[in-house]
Amino acid sequence: MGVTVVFQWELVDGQTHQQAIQELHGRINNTGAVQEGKFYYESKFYQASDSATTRDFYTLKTSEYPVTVFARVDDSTKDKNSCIQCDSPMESLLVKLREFFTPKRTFEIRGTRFKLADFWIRPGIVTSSGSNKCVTIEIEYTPSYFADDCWPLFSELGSYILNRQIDDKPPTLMENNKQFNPGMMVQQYVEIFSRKATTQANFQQPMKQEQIQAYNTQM
Amino acid sequence: MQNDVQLAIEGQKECFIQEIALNGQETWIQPMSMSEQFGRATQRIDFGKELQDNNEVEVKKEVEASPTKAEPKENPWDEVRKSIFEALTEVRVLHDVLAVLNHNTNPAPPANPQQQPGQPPQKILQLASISGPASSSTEQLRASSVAAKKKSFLLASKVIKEGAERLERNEKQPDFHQELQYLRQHYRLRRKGEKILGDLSFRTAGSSYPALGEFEVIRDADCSRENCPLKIRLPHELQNMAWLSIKLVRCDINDSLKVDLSKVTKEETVSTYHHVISTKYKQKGYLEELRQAQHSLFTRELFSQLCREVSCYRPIVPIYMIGDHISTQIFPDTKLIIELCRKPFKAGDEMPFDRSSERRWFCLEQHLTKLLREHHAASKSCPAPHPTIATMGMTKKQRIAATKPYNLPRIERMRKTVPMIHKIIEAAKHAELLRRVEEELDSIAKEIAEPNIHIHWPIIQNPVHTSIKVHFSVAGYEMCTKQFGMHSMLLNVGINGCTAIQRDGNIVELGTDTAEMRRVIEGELLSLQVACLAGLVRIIDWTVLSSSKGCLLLAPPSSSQSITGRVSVRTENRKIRVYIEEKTTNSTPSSDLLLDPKWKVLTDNEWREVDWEKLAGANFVGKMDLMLSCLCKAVTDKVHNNP
Repeated sequence: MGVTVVFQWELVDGQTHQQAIQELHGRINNTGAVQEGKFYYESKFYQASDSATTRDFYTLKTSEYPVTVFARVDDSTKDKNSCIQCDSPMESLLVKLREFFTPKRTFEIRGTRFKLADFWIRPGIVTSSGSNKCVTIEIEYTPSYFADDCWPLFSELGSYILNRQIDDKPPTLMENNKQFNPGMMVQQYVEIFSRKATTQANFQQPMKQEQIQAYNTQM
Repeated sequence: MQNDVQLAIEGQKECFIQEIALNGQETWIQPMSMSEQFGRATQRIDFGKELQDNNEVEVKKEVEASPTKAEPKENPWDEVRKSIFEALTEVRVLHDVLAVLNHNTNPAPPANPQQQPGQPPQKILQLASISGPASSSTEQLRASSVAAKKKSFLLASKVIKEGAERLERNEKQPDFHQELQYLRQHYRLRRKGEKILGDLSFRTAGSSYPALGEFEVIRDADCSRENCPLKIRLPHELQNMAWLSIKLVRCDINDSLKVDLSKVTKEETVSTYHHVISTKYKQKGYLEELRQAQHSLFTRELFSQLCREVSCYRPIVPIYMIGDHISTQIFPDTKLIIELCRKPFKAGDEMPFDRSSERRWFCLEQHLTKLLREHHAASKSCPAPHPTIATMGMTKKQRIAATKPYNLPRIERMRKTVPMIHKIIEAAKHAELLRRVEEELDSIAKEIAEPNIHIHWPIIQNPVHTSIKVHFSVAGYEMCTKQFGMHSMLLNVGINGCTAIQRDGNIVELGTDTAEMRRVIEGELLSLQVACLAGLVRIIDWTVLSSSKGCLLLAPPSSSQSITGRVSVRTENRKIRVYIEEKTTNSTPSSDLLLDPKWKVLTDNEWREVDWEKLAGANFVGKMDLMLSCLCKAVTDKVHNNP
């Protein structure tokens, strides 16, 4: 376990998700990384029946932490890291509570993981109800717990793989010598999922270009 | 008076309750009155007691009389009166007899009035044996009393002897039940129909080995006195002694590739390891047999466990299992052989070990036994689930893995169990390496006379790690090395090699070949001598111009009229060389390039090697001590001349 950062791949015009993954694999192979097994992430969005008193949340199961179920409240304050780490009976508990929390959406990421010395690189496609949403690249640097210390390494590797400039500061979540914990990784994924959910909502109601622009500026 | 509180006080109960009726009514036994108590006490006087020793008939009467005493009688004093009358009659008779006797032996009663002035008159009753009577024949009486005493002593001794003999006879009487009780202290026994069956297996200790470990206890009805009435009958397969023999054998590098086993050259056993169960206390025949049987059961379980692991464990170096042998190559030229040996059991028989190359202080077999016991213990004790609804059999680490949370590699590491065969191979590697290191250190210490090598071996050992401290010192010059701290080296012997941590903190990785270690120690010895010399030089007022590991440049004391210049000590080709700079005024061909007079230093002086081995002295530092003091002889001469 070490500092883990999740990046999102920006699709070039006319590029499908599969093509993007192909390109990513090529780039990662060029760095000298080797394939080592598969990985998956599985996330569910639970909506509370009474939104006034209870809040919506995401659960995340992953092959990297096989015995843990993460639960992350869909909070408006993104810097607050309120992640719960639960044992596997959590899911059966949620089945019993389906009156209060209804599972709305499922997100899934599957892919191949690569190992490059101390780095783990996990590129994958985010799918929700059978359709591809976006491409994410997770980079983990196992020896360090502090993103500030190893950010130059991240920016170097990340900018090569993503083929774009990366901020010279780590995400605000991990800044200021905060020790890394798996909750931070969950937080980053949930941010991506919630962003997708909102854009998906937008797609469902086709809007005019101005409306979208207006919406984006509001954001 | 209105504030009065009424208290009910009840007297202490002096009467016993005989009965409590259903309605709660208590029937009391009234306490006895004084006269009743007195009557009862008199009834208890045992008049027959005094007569018991002499007359058994009296005792019998007493026994017959005693039950009647308990009943209340009309005239309770009748018996007492009767007894007293009887006693009085007897006393009278006795008095008469004694008087007659006294009268006969003493015709002249007051013979010596001075001797017994306060002697009461003769009529008063006296017992002859207690005190010397006032008679002239005192010696006679004394003799008779001695005779009486002797007789009584004889009687008493006879009684004691008889009793002792009877006790002795009782002890030798073989008792089946006693033996059975003794056996039960060691083994679990149970009844099955007519038979008594015992259990030898380790099932209660957590073993799940399916082999039968039952024995039958038989009662030998017609046994002689010396033999034990308890016999045991063991199942056929337990009648053998079984033990594991672990051998380390020297072999070829490609030994495992050989197909034809008959062509294998004679193997040279490097070391063997046996675990001998202690025979300090010789136990009874059947216990000895049972213990052997149990030991062989344990050994067979151990071997079968190893075989099972060998069949499913695939390390890089293959492990072979042929018959009762498990063999693998632990080092390119060394093979580990675990062998299961069997031999029919005979009481008092020692295990036939090949003790020629046995190493007792690092017992691999014992380690193997310990591993199986740990395996048993682990299967027996299961950690309690916490909370109580959690899954059984999870350790605390596994329980908190979800919430910590632990990632995949860590969880995989937690689930991994290291097979016993792997552990024993590692321990064997360590044992072999340790033996090599030990041998090499011994040979170094033998070959190199000086400086001295001291080796500290640890008392407590880990099966896969040992730290050895090696100290070096130069005899007679310990103080000089002290200035630089203890000159020592730490050898960490591991599984696949050892590391040497030198005094300056350098870590040298050494392989399994001990020649590398030899090289390191030889280098260390040379640098020790040079370091020791540097310490000495400071004491005798020479100046150290430059020093590095193994090299030294010395300048003579400025006050002396030294006959030479500087002295250089170097280690070259694993030997110490000493050079002296000669003060020569001979004009040497000067250089055309370096014209400045200060560069004359480079060309003017001439270095000559000293054959220091020809100098007098016990060791290198002693020789150098002598040489350096000779070089500045002028100073000492001056000191002696001008006191």
